[in-house]
Amino acid sequence: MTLDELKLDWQQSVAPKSDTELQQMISQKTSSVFYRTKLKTIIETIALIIFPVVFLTGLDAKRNEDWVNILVILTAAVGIANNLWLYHGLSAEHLNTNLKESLLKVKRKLQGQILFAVVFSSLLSGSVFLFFFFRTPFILEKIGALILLLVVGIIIRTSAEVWRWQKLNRYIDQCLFALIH
Amino acid sequence: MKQEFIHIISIHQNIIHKVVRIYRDTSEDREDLFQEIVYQLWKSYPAYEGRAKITTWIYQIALNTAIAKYRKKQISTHSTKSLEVALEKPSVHPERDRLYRAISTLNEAEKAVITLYLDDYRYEEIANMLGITISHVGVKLHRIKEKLTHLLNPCTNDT
Repeated sequence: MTLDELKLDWQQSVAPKSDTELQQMISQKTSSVFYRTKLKTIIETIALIIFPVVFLTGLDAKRNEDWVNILVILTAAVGIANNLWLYHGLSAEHLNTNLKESLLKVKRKLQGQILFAVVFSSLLSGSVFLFFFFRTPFILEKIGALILLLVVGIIIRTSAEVWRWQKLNRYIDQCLFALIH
Repeated sequence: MKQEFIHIISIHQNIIHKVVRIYRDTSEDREDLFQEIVYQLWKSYPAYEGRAKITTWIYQIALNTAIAKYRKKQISTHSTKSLEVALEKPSVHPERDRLYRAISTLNEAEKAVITLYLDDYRYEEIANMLGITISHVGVKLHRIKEKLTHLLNPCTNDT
């Protein structure tokens, strides 16, 4: 069978979807990686809003020092700004263009995502470290180990995220290369 | 607007079936991608201005979704070895299935070109949809045909 012969077979209809099925599809949640990231962004933003509110409104028995409050607000603000930027980027449509342009837009989006993940992780782990460094008397070795574990945890989480985005970025590069060459 | 959209997709859903068939191997993956394409078409529908033909617009969104947007699972990379293994299974249309399997070993960009070629799109239209030059479409098609010939008749290259 040649490609020209396949054209005839190509036109043959497969089992069509009913209008009801199509209607269900447009109201269903998408499973794209961007949608899942968007969902995660929303959850994180809510957590970042709740965290300083709970911390600053007295659940902590002791009165907090100013620099501690400033650090908490700063960390939360950086997190919220990062997530809002990310959400905006993920919501931007890029499918109504040609394939090459669409791939380039996805690539730019991924690069931005990687950059922000690194910056945000550095700020967050730095803030967490400084917060505990000044606040906790390092008498017990266990506390020091716990703090380090927390910081390392943030770095590992971000590294996993960056690795995932870079994998996708490499795939987009391959597609672009295959398209252009 | 929703009813109008459903009506359009209902008429032209064959395009989505074709893209899905080329880009995914299993029925489960095809079903997932079909849903994702319909969802993306619905999201993009308000921005559709009617400048391009509706079929061209559907193809554009479907191909972009299949390649650039949708990533539920890691896409397996095919090889000629997998083609040979797959051929061991008996089929009702062995010739046609061989060709489809050979097409499935092409890269994502080549699949896009062949999908549009099989639907009789002109080189100019393919070039516009993919963002490449008309001459490059010709070069790509030539390479694809050579590749498919080699995959289907490995001995021809030995001479």
